[in-house]
Amino acid sequence: MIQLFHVTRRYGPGAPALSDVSLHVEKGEFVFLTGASGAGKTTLLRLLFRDEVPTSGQIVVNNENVATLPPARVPWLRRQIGVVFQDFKLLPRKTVFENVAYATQVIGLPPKEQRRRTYQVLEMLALNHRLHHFPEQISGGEQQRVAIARALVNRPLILLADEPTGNLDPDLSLQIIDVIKEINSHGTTVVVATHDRELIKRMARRVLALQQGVLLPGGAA
Amino acid sequence: MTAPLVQGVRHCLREARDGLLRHPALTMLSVLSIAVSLYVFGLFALLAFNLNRLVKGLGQELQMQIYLEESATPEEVRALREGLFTDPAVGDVRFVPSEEARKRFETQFPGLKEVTGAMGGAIFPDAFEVILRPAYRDADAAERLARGFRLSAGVQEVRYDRGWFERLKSLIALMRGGGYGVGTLLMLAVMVTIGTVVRLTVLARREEIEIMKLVGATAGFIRGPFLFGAAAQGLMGGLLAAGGLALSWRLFVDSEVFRENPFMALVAGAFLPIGGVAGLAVAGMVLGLLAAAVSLHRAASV
Repeated sequence: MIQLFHVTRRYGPGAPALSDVSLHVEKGEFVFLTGASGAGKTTLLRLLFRDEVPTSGQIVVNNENVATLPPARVPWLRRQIGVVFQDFKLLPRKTVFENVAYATQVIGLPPKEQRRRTYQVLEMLALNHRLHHFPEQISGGEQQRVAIARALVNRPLILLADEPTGNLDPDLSLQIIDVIKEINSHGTTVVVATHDRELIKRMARRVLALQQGVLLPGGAA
Repeated sequence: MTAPLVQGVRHCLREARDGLLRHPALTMLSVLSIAVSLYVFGLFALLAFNLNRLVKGLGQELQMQIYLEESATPEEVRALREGLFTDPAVGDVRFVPSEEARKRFETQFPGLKEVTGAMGGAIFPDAFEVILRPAYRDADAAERLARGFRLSAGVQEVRYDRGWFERLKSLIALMRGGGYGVGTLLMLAVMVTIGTVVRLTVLARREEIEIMKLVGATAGFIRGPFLFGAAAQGLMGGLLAAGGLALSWRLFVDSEVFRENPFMALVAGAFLPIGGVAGLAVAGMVLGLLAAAVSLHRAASV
């Protein structure tokens, strides 16, 4: 599902953010991407949904070469990928329902289908009692679940989560990870970037470890 | 095909409306900036419109007199009249018989009435007064025509004021050159204003745009509401400018300055026709669209 071949990403003359990274993530797999701050986790995720392009190397996502994808095709790539961020990135002036439904509008679903899918995913994430609340009126854990709901509502093949539990307490972190596990169990490929070692230990999934932009062999960070 | 299109237009309208209502201060500032720019443009258009009327009026003053010989036969006069009516340069022709010319002179110069009486009718020959079409109101064209008419049978003399023609030609050239120059500058100023406003709106909604991109929105989906919003702001600005212009013109023509200065009637005596007023509103909308398209294209990531 995801393949990187000798990918390097440089931002300037200094050391590269990512250096000669090659990896492979199978369809339906759940992997952790770990490493200290500045190791290149976020850069790698951004490369996967074409928020950035590699300086060299090739990236293949769902049989599509992301590095050479024409700009007009980028939205279609992103519709196959759900992305969740540490800071949630919710629209403050839209309600929980509107935030999630917005993603369905973007891909041009008919209004009825937009509503059906939005209710469905919000129910799955136990947010149906918060439909008409604004982000600032709900807890951090709920905000993160809204962000996950938005990432999932278009039924993506891949879910990328960048420090999804970074702003949450341990209990809420486990809840969120449970939700992501559940999503993965339905066949969605999941890549979670985190530096939370406890979480990684408890989950016992494959770990891709980055150190100063280099992928460590064997997954040890 | 129709359903997605309708859905897309609905999305653009809804998001444009929400965008405008969510940032009322920015919306108001935008509409006012556009209105002020278009108002200044409208003032210029009003002045140009009045000057154009003035020039047209001056054109009507440009006459060419074709005096006939006393011995001119009715056939020669008829042939000349036909020649005048079929000439593409001739806009209007009027035959002034000798007697009418005398009466006109005596009305204009009553003190000289006795002199004309003593001299008899010979000093006022029959004549044609010719008004040229606007396209032929320049000294060279007038001279060409005069040369032709002088060669016609029965014509004694052809007179026109060459200096007047030349002054009119210079005035029109000045107005055209100045008008295009100032008009273009003002239009650019309006576009820059609207463009800046759109860029501000884009900046204010940067986070929202980021999220839209994240969930796979196409460039059209993101840009559409901004374009609709800019067009709406341009239209509102244009209507406001047209209303302001009408009000300020009304107040001006009712003022003492206008009443006491006859020159003012020449440069501001008439208001723009309804087409001009509507044009101002439409110009606001079109310029809004253009400026938004350019601004969004510049903010290439959008």
